Amino acid sequence: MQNLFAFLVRHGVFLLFLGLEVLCFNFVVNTNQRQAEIYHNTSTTMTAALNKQVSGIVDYWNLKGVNDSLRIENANLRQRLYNNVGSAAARNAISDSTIQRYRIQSASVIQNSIRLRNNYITLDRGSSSGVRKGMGVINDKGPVGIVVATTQRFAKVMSLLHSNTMISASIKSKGYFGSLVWHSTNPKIMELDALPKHAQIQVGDTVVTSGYSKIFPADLLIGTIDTFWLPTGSNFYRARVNLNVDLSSLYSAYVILNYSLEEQESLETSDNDE
Amino acid sequence: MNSLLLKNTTRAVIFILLQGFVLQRINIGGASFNYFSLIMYPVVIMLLPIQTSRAALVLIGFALGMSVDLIYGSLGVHASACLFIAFTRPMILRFMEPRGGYPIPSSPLAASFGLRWFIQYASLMLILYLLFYFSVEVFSFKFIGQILIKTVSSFVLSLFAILAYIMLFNPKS
Repeated sequence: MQNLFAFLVRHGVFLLFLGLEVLCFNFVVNTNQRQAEIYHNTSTTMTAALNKQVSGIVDYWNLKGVNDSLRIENANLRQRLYNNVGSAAARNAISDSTIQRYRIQSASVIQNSIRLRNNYITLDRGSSSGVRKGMGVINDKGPVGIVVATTQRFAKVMSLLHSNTMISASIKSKGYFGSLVWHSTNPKIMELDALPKHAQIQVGDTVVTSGYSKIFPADLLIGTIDTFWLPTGSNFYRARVNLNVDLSSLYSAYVILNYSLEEQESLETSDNDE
Repeated sequence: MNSLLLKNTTRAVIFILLQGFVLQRINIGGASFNYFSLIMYPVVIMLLPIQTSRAALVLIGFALGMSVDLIYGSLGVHASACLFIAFTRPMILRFMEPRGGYPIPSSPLAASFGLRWFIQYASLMLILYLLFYFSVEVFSFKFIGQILIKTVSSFVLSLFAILAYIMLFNPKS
């Protein structure tokens, strides 16, 4: 204790300087757009290579679980494929490249956190594979996050478990939609906000992506409603959603490359000009 | 003592306003050579009394930089550089100590230690400030060339401005 005190007296000013300097950099990165981008890119480049090595080792231990989930997913896809064979229209629609909106790029997760307030995921696919800022990331169980920065070989993904997450979600087959946010510290639970008061919702209802956002396609399973309530003085329900995806065990993911993203964006902003 | 405090406070306020509302808008070199920044307010840190404690220096540096940042709208960029020179100032002063040491109490002024001494002192402080400032502003050592050009061109300009202030007003404390 005495040593600690002596240390503080001797180096107090230096610690004060260091502390304030850290505070400054925190301001710089959080309030200045350009610096924030450089910071995300640099930190991704520097740590991603190392993380890739580590995950290369750790991956072996999870192979069995990953295999199982891939097998289940394969089965699902085959099932869908076989069900579609009869319909010629469906086949044509898939082969027509002007209608194809999404391409799926698989990627491995090389770094993932779930314990922070703002969590990020790093993927081993970057701009050279067509991954761009703003694209959605899913795995076989549902949405995972949104790409916020890319380098040539890596992508930094804002996890669902982030204070800025806001995903347009709707209640399946009922059509009411709200936005999905993460207020808790539990990686299995998110909240669905802004559901209209007249909505007829029930515990156990399925929550899916609404497709109104440009990031995720419609009808991706997100989870089920656990409880819902009307906050005092509010006209909107708020619901607790049990996530279907388990972000604590995430080893592979798919990036959704949305080809019509730019077209859609330019259309949606064009009416401001006139 | 009180007049010393008053003078330094007044100087700080004047230079914050001057830096934020006047010098920020001066654009020498135009759009094609956008490398000149006129930075004068570190003179407030330079002219603080020599006996100012390091903790006080660091806190004053932070507050001063933050005030300028608030006007510039670049939170943390000026503050980090200002903090840095406030922290290194005692070392620079020790390095530049005249034979026989500094009289107590005194301030590092051209009026007391000579213009030549002050130019050296101000140059050292200013170059450290600008290097740190442009490094944070550009925020990547990939553009080290850009950082150096900005530092050198702004250094020449700002040093002249600071010396002009010193010679015109010749502050006595």
